[in-house]
Amino acid sequence: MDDLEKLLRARFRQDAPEVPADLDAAIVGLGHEAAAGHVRRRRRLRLVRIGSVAAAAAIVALCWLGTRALDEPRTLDVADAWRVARGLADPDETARLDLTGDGRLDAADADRILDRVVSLRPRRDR
Amino acid sequence: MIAFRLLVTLAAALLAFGNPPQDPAATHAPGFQVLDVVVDTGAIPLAAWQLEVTVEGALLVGVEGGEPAAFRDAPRYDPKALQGDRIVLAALAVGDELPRGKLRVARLHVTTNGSSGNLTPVLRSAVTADAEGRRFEAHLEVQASGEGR
Repeated sequence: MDDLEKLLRARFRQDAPEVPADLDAAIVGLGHEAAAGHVRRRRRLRLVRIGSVAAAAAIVALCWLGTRALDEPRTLDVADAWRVARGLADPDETARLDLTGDGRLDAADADRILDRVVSLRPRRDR
Repeated sequence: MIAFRLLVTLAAALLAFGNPPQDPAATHAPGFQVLDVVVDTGAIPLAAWQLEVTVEGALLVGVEGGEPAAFRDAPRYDPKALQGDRIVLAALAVGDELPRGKLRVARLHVTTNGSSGNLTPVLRSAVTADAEGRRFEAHLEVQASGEGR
């Protein structure tokens, strides 16, 4: 039996020894507290719900991006490989052409580009 | 000796009567064809090329390099393409001597089931690059070389 219930019982019996002097004010105070707790719980539940939906959306987006990366249209061609092999690639293209991911363009990148160009894996542009 | 003669006679009889003559039109004996990949660059030196080829009714069994020294090595391709009918070829010349004009840059070996008649290769994703690595329009074709039949 919580405090609010005890006070409500006392309010209707008027004989309990523990009844405070200002019984109604105490009841209202405890009622407010209970209502505030209820609101807090609801707010927490809503946050958990929103968080779950956001997490699920993020997972779906990551999967979609991953699929796109695996199934990207053929944006690289043999001309890119040749420029990389000859050291003639524009430094602005490093992000696109650096397939080894070592931050520089060299023969290994040209090799990887060629491998990707001739790969028979399915692509979205087919 | 008698047994040997009997065996030889039996073998001759089997050879003579065992294989009745067949209708040549109904025979689909597998055959080999050689297809040349030819690029015509005009006056522009060829530094790199790529091409996707589909040869319906045939299976790719081999890829060979081309005629110019810069493209004599076999072009790059996905090994999974062999025993299939689609392949993507790519080659680049890293030397300074770049060929130009009408060039046989690669050769494809295919098998047919004998009923395919003339093969009609379908070309896609053709790219050619010049001595600066710039793409340019060149005429590419895959044609029967007449060898290997």
